[in-house]
Amino acid sequence: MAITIQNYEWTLRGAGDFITYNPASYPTASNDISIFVDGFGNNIEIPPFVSEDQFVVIENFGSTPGVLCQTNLINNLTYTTGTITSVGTAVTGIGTAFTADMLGGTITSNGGQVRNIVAFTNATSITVDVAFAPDIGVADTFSISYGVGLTTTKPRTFSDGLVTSAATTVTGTLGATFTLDMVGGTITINGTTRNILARPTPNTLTIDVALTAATTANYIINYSVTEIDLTSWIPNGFVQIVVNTTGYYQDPQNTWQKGISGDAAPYPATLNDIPGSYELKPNIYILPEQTWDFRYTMMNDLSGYVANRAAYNPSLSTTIPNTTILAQCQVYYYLFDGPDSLICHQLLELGIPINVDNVEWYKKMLLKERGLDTDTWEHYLQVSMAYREREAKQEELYGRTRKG
Amino acid sequence: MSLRRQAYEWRNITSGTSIVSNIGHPILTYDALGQVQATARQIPANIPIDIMVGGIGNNLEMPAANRAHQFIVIDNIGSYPYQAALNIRIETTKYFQSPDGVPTEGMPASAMPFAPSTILGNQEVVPMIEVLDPTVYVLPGQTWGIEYTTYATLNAGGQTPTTDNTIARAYVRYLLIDGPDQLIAMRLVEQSIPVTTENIEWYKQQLIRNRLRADLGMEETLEKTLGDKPRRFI
Repeated sequence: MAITIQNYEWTLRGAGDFITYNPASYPTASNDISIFVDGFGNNIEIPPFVSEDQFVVIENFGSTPGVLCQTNLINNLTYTTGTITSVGTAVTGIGTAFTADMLGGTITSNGGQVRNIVAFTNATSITVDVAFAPDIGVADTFSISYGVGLTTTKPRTFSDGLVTSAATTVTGTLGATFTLDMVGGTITINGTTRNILARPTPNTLTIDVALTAATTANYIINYSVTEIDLTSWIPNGFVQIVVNTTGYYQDPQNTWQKGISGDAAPYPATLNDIPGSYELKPNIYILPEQTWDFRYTMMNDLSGYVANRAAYNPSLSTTIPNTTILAQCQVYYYLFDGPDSLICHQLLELGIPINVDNVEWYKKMLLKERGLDTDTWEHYLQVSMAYREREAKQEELYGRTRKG
Repeated sequence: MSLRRQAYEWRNITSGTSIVSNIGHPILTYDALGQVQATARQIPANIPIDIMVGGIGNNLEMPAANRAHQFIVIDNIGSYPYQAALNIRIETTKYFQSPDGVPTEGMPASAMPFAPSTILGNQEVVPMIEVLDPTVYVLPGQTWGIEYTTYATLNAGGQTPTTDNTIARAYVRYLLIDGPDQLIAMRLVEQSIPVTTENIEWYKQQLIRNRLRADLGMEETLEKTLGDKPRRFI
């Protein structure tokens, strides 16, 4: 297989369901990263390098389309529990459990009137931007659309280090560091279970019923954590191709640019999408001994968004499940190796575009010439021999041959 | 890399208070509720805006200009929303004009769209014109630009965009020819041969062929053999 079509798909996924967001795990906005070796998403072990018996022709590429991501973040949750009444812009809930996350969302009631939620007071009180008309005097049903990511409660366990229990205080050592999330959970020491009432310090817990236990590692805490799962993200990304140290794309003022956007060269494209506007014609040739790279720049600030979330509601941490695809990039190219790479060089010297058809054509020409050489020689040899025989016969018949 | 397929994309969105981003596309930040902290800037009706140095959206620091060794072939443009149009300006001359010779707003987005990926299927416009044919040449040393004109004011007052559909955009795709290939491109122009990748490659092949013939001494041998004998054409 001297000519192969190759592809490389790079996918940047969330770090995982239970892993608290770590900015170092994701590219910083506006910083270009290699899709091959920079440590984000799936990588290879060494940068792409064309060995001396290879020739690479990059045919096309694409990346995740889109600019804004809030279309996938805002109002992806619906809340309809209870009923409401209103006076002016003040909305009072009956049997409701409004949350701060609903701030910025919309509420629909009173025969389909839609209002923006501009303030959150407590579980039964919110404020809208424009009063329902008329006021909702008789408790009415409602629907609130809100949310950034999915708020989910997940069970967790903890059993690091050692604990000692005396009366209603449990003390942790050697890595037994407790979090506020554990309040409300249970702790089981040597088979005896107690409810956790408080966490006075990171190394102490208050339990509901006294328990005496010597220092032991035989314990487990069961608790739950409510987190925000970022379930979708649009990267607003650009792709630049680099050969050795030279960037392929430059802007009209002749300086390095971030490259081609996902809107111009989308991947993946759906059936509803018009084909991308960008085509890599002519293709890019990567010669032997050259390195090449695809550098991806994300212009939507993921870390900034998560930091804003954390500041807004410190009790809710953000996680990104690994089912969430943050960015994708795909490149496909032709790899010519062995004798075919030599043909690529020959075509390059002759100024002929290097593609599979032309390499195959050149091979046919070589074979044809080689075949012609032998056939022609054989043909002329036979013709010459026949001619000589005929001449000899004629001379003999016409008596022109003198006997010596 | 003397033949390179380039593209430039413009959007009317900037972050902060400035209506222009001279460092290219801006970083888009989001608040705790996922609302983008950026503004789709107002584009006044019927006033051409240069997408490279027009002072709105992502811009360059200097106008687009070909260096002495560069040659550009523009073969695709596109814009959005559908009440917009693009015209190509070379030096002070606008490319698209009405039948009476007066420059127009240019190629409508409805004919050559560059729509966002979020647009709904029933609102998508299929390009009536896939590529500019014949293409538009920008010769060495010439300045050029792409002017965006909308028939109605867009994003009046500057709006926080809610979807990609509310962001105005423009796109130009071109072939950048530089170095020795630019000399070939100029030769093709002189001979009224379209400047395309294929023709530049063909011209290079001819040059190589001629060089090979010269190297083989064919011309000299022919001259010596034929001398001043009358030539017979077959």
